[in-house]
Amino acid sequence: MEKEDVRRIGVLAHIELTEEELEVLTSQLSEIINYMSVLREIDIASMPRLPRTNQLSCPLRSDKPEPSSGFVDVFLDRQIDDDGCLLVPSVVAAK
Amino acid sequence: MTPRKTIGIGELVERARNERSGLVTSVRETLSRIAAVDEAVGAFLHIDRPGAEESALRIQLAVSAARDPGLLAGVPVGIKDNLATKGQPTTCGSRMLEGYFPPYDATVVRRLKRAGAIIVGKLNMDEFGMGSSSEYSAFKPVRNPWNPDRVPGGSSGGAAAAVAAGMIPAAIGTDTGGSIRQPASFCGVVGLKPTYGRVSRYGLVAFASSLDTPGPLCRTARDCALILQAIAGHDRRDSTSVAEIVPDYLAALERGVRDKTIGVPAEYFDTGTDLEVENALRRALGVYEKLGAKIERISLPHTKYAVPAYYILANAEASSNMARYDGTRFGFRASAADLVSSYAKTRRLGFGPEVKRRILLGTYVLSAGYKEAYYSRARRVQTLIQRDFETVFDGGVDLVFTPSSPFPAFPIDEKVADPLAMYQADVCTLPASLAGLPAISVPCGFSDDGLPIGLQLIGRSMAEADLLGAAEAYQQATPWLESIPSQWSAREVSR
Repeated sequence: MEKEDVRRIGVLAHIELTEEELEVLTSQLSEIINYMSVLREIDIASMPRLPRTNQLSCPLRSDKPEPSSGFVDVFLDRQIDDDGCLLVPSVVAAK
Repeated sequence: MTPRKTIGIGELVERARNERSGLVTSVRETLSRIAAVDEAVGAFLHIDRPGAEESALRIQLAVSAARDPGLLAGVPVGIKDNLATKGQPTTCGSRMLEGYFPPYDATVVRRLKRAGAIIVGKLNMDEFGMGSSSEYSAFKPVRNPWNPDRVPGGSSGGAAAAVAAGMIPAAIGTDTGGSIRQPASFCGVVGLKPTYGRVSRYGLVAFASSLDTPGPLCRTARDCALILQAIAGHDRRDSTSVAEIVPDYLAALERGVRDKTIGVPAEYFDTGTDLEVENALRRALGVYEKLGAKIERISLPHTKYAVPAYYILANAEASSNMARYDGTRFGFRASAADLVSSYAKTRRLGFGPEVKRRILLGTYVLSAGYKEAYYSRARRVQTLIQRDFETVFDGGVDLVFTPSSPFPAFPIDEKVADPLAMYQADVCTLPASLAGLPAISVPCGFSDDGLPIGLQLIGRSMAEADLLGAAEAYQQATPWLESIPSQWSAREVSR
């Protein structure tokens, strides 16, 4: 794994990485990926994927609307201004 | 270590049921003890004093009114901080969720409250459950009560340490690849990972959704049985929750191991297991033989592939689950010039190094050109590992016996800069996780340095009762339960 690979994954994962982090991560991730490559020695041609972790009955509930959480519960930790509007932090920096 | 007075959950419940007053005082004593002891341990991230006192008062009122106060009446329980607690902080040990107060209780928490348990606070952990030493908490590391220079294991290190130090008699942890069993082993307590689906994940903040499993950590198998009794069972809010009847786990404690076949897989002892761990396990097998079990050598040939397969699958799921933390919906937000930059900056500053490493690994193994080579292959290897277990159970083995960890608690800082070494420390617990099977870690002795050693028993799907019965039989036949970290031996533990 090269430094540019790690940079590309960082972009895909929406994680900003400094040059210093890129150096360390390139070395660490290469070692880990190399270790994971041991799985290549197994013949899995006829092996199905495990459909799910247990093979037991997990019934689904009926698809009917039900009451949701109350307004007060959901907005418990939010500030409300004098006009009754919810105050939230800005997403992008003010210019 | 020194002998101690042990108070089980059953005795605590009896006291609560028979005393019309005194429970609030008793809970206050528990909270004071936590305050006094936890400074040196770091097991708690948040203590809910008003909530705990109110719960105690409610139970006292129920008792006074001759109403049933519940199966766990008056039992102080700590909750790992990745389980939602209504109106109480739920940070997952991460800056990303600092200041997040869920508007609902996880099903596990709701069921504990319904059973009369007193939720005293939230327990420290590796950030989002990603770690095996509890050093990756964004707030503070947890220290092992047996030796503060050693890790308590992880990611439920706060849960294991709080029980081991006698702060609380029971804690709820979560186990994705060993996060209940390995810290239980390092701290000398019992930790049970139930079958995947036996306990609801509703309200558990997801790390790897196909593997995450909540379960109890207590000093005894008997206490674990009581906690499991309260939290197990189908939950319509979790579509992976299993619709099987919950057995009477307390009654199952009397099953013992007579005429049971215990399988010992050679692969778990082949490489890297400390000699003193191996010797402790050998002595434990001797105890089981005396208790009437038949010991059989078995093989689980794909064991060595569990670590790479797990770290591909779990990290792939983690990369997907962590995508929700972009600063717009939960907790921490870093402001930037545009929206995409804000996401990237939020995630750089909000996540710790291990979470970032795992997200990157997970993104890599799912990315175009690599998915077949890594993720798809690991899913098929998972099938092989599950079939290994099926083969031995179909062949008449009742329980698989292994170490919980190849070594006792390692020094703080030893593995934190070497992530691969940290991953490899999970070698004993990962196979049962990948197969979705129940497994329990039970203290079985001490190293020359005075650190606890744990044995692991793995059972058939939904066979938690067999595990608890075997663990109880072992604890009744051995003296390990009588030991407590020496710095806290003078106090009465549990409350």
